[in-house]
Amino acid sequence: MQIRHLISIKHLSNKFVEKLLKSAREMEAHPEAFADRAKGKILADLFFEPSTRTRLSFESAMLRLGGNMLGFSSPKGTSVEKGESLADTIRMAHSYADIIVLRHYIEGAGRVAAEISNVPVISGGTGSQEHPTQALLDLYTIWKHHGRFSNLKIAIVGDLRYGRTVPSLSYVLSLFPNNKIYFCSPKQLRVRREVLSEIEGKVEYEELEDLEEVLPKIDVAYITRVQKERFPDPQDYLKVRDSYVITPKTLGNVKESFILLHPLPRVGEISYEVDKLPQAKYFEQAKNGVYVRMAILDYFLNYPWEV
Amino acid sequence: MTDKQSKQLIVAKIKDGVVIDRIPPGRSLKVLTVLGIDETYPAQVSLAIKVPSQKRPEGLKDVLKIANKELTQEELDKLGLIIPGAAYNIIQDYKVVKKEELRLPSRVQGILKCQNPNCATNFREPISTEFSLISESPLVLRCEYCERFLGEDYVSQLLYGR
Repeated sequence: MQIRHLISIKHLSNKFVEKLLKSAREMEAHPEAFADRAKGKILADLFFEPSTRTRLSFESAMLRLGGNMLGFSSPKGTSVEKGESLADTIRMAHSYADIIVLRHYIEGAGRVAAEISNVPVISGGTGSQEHPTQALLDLYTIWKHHGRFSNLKIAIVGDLRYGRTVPSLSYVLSLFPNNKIYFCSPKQLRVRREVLSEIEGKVEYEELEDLEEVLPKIDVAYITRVQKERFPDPQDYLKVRDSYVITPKTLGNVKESFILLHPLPRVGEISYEVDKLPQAKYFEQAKNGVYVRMAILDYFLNYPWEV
Repeated sequence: MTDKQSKQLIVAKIKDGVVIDRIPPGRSLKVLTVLGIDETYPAQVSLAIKVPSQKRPEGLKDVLKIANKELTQEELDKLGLIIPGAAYNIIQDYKVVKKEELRLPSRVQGILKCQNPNCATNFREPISTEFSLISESPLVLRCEYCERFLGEDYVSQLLYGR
């Protein structure tokens, strides 16, 4: 079976994810062997919202596969500013390109694009709904360090209500057996019930506020940014913000194999002193985005394998 | 007077149209609102509120008879959302020619608006709304675009304005 678009982790099977990440590992080990995979192909990157890593790593991935790209990094200066619908923008992009990467502030934009487009649509994140390719590179990083997709204990920390990486990571972890997720957040930023309902019965999870309580027993801590604008009272924000700042002292009691991840950008959640510690894997995680996105582009352009 | 005689007196037969029976007691006025039937409707509408019922768990029901009316699929879907379990009869020449139970639709297309202002269906795109049924009791629907849930209160508000 072939998958036409990548707009949600929910459409993927564990076999698909495993094959995709194995293909990413091949690309990381022997990038030269894949240098012509996208020769003569064009990627349209349509970014309606700011992005650094997602857009640049998709572009880097496309260039490493021998392809080219066009697109925009902000709707400013395009017909979108004149009120053009997403559907019409997609109709244009699919006649100019062989594959589309879309980031949009609207939730459901991925599905709209997939309904219209004749070429594969890859979501680069939609609203606070999902960010599927981020979850794939997160899992790739975890797999590289722990050597497995299952039997993992992971704390997902910070803004679990609005962060779009949180649903996707939860869904991908729920595809594999015996994982346990600790959702660690202030009360007002707990995971949405829609997300919990989706993973219910598929993966064990627990909701808590205190991160330190679980740090000694987890394999991975995945930190996300707590945004000031989510709090009506600035005092509440300051109180909460400090309780989730990771410093070398916070990590004093972690397992030897423990790793610290963050989808980035970080704004104070992880102190700069942590960067030097062996547990800090967030920059490597960002780099892994290139290989995983190479594997994604290769799959949707060439369908080199089936599940 | 038996229940049957009393019902016959209150709600007279209609020649052609629809009879909606076993409506949860007191909800028939909402049914009229959803169907857009008011004083301008040109034919006979008979309504019985809280008459005895052996089939409804409350022991009471409403009955609605609307002459010269056919229900569209959209109207049936709306009624399935607000009065699941009620019976819907098509009457032709005083006879019941079709009888069906109204059910909660597993998919609702086009008739509800998503509550999430940031959902693609609330922007100027060539798509119509689509919800899937997550839970019957309490009623929970999921938007198939933004994946947010709609609860019973919001669905009622959308359908009959309160």
